[in-house]
Amino acid sequence: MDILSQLVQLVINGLLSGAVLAMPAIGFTLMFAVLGFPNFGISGHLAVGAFAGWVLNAVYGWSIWLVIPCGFVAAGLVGVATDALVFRRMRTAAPITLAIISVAVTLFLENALRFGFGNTLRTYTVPLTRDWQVGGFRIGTQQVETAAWSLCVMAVLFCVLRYTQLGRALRATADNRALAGVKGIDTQGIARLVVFIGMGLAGASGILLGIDTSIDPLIGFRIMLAVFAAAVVGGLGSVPGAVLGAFVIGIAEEVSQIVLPAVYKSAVGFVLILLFLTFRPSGLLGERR
Amino acid sequence: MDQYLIAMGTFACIYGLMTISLNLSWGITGMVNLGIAGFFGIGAYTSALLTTGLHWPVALGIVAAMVAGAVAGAGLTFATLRLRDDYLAIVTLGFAEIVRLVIMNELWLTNGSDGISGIPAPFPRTYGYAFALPFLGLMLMVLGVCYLLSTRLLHSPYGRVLRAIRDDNEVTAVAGKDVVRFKLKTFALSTAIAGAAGALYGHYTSFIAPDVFAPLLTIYIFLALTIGGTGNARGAVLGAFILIAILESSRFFPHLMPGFSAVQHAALREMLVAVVFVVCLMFRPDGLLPERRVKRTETPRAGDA
Amino acid sequence: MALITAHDIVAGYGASEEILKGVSLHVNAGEMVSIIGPNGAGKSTFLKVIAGMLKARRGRIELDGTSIEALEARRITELGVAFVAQEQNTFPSLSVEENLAIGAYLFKGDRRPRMEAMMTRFPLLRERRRQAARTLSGGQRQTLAVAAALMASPRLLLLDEPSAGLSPKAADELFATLQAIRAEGVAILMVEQNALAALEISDRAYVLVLGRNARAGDARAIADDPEIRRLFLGG
Repeated sequence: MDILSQLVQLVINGLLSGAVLAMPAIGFTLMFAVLGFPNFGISGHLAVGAFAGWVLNAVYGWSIWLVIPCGFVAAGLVGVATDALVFRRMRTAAPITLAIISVAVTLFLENALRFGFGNTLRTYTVPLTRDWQVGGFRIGTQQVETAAWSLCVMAVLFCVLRYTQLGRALRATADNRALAGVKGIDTQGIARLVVFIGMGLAGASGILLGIDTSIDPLIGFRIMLAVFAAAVVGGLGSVPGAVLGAFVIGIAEEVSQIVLPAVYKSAVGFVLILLFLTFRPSGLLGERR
Repeated sequence: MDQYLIAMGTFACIYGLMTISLNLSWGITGMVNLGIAGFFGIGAYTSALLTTGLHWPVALGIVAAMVAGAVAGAGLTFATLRLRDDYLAIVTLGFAEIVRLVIMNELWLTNGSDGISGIPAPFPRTYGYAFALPFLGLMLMVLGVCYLLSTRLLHSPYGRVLRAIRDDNEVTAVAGKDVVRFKLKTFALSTAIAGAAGALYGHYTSFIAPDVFAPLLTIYIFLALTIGGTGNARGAVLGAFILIAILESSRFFPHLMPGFSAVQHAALREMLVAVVFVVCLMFRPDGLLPERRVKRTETPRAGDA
Repeated sequence: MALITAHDIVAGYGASEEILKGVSLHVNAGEMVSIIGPNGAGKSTFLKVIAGMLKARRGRIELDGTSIEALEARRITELGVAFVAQEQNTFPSLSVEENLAIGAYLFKGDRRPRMEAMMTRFPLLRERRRQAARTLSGGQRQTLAVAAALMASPRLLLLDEPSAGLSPKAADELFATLQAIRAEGVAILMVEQNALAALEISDRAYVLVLGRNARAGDARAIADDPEIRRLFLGG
């Protein structure tokens, strides 16, 4: 395979993985916009969703496509629970304190999963499919399906945010929480909803990630850097930015394999974070700061 | 038993260095370092590689570890200094992971997950008290120096600027202090101390491997500082000793709860650490030895006339 | 009968500091009232207390005879009090239309007729209906903030320095708009740096000094009082 078609193949792979990465990146950026701190709990919740899906799929035999919404709900509910138990009691604390606490939340969730399921790698039961061959390029049907799932979820979310009164209220709360309260918006309720959606997106993406490979309690931890990178590259707090950032990171990670060993894939995200914070801290589509 | 206590005391001193380091950045200036394990690792490997591979004297290795820690710290903060502190949290968290990645994979240099053994000590490694006691003495001395240094810093005009930076970024910027330079210097100093802690750890145990500085280590240090009290070095050191006591006593944990596997015990222990940490931050955020500060009366912002 | 009455309000921000040390005031239905006074008098703080954004430590606020001082800001909005802060009074990333829609957030019926009416009243908002609020000029943003507040069909409009940062022409337009709004029966209580202009269109005025009532009375009389002119009105 010549270098050009190799590049095209890598870009295709990058687009497909970027589509899945976009979900937790949206969750991270949305929670940052509304709650005002980087919620590192996202990696623990991603793993919770992945394992909730695994139990339903591998233990109870539910179809994988049915299980994805369940992973969303499970992670979303755990998110709302941690929010009620910990974060809501600390709304006046400094954002950075909340960020540190969210690291502890991830530590707790990952170890709760480790306690219940151990460190073994587990896989979902999915129907085997053959990859497509299109003009000499190999396209994994599995990856296309997960990417399509992710795009559907994002389309729904986009429409809700853009065209409904609830979506407007959510964006208004992100813009100016005090003013939103004066206008009659239940900002506490919006915050709870955002945690549900944000952690739910992470949970569903945990299943999509696991379909492709396998899952273990650290599944979220491993793609954490890519999630942050997508959010920062797109502009922290911007939802469309997170989507764009996810595609940028997905493609950059794949293309980097031409020159870098595969183990350094996640370093690409880190380098991009540093570059963007140095030269364009508001990201590609960010407006704040 | 005495041997055991001496060893624990030495480890507590190493942790104490890291809590002092974290106290400098987070406790005093409000810059959070979620990658302190990474700086610890950089220091440990720098000194270990120089003293085993190039046969540098131990003291020079430790100095090199501090320089490496400072350079890495300054480099990281450079990108985020003008931004909100959240960005530094993201960057440092990522940094620790990258350090681990490099150490795991650059086998030619670091020997990967097998680690580096045979790291020399500052004085002959004999059995019994002849080695352990002097090393504890050395550690207490280093800890004492860092402690004095950071209390001096805290009460200097420079320290007052640092605390002003923590309490209000904008006010100090308006006051004309060169906030960016102060923050950069402090952060580099704190990561240099973390580097020294890593180096000393290697020279004490003679063996280092990547799992020594897993992300959990960072949480431990935050826990220690939170228990002890942020903003003052006394609390930081006290917290480190309490942390070691907690961690060591949790070794007896399995005996209390038979019937679980080793993995489950480890998981329970880490869950416990997470819960204790969150509970401390929620209910006693100032720690056992809170910083004594003059009660600041809040002034209304401009325009609130 | 008074629409809103505040009795002996004490409030402040920190643990100990008191900005308001006992301020009383009332506004009748359909009346335009100004609060003037030197910097640090507590004028803006007072509006925030009425709007429910800052809780009073002591004192009563009654709207139509029911006390509201313990209510959340959103409940006070629901009861017909709309507040336009001096700064950050719009949602920058939302479009003009969306800002108006959020203004009527608590109104459960069809918002479109109201929005159309508002854009007919302020044609510049119609021109820029799809633009993000952040792209508007200061004067346009102030107009949007007032329009969004009116979307809630308030009985009382609280305005904090509505003309701050506006060109003289834009300020004149704004004051004309306020008079029109008031003519429709909406009571207005405003804090204004440009005290002379405010007094000119107001019915009554209160003078606050260091968190206490200093003078109160007919707006014209206050504007003509030589001592007040010397102290606050630069003449």
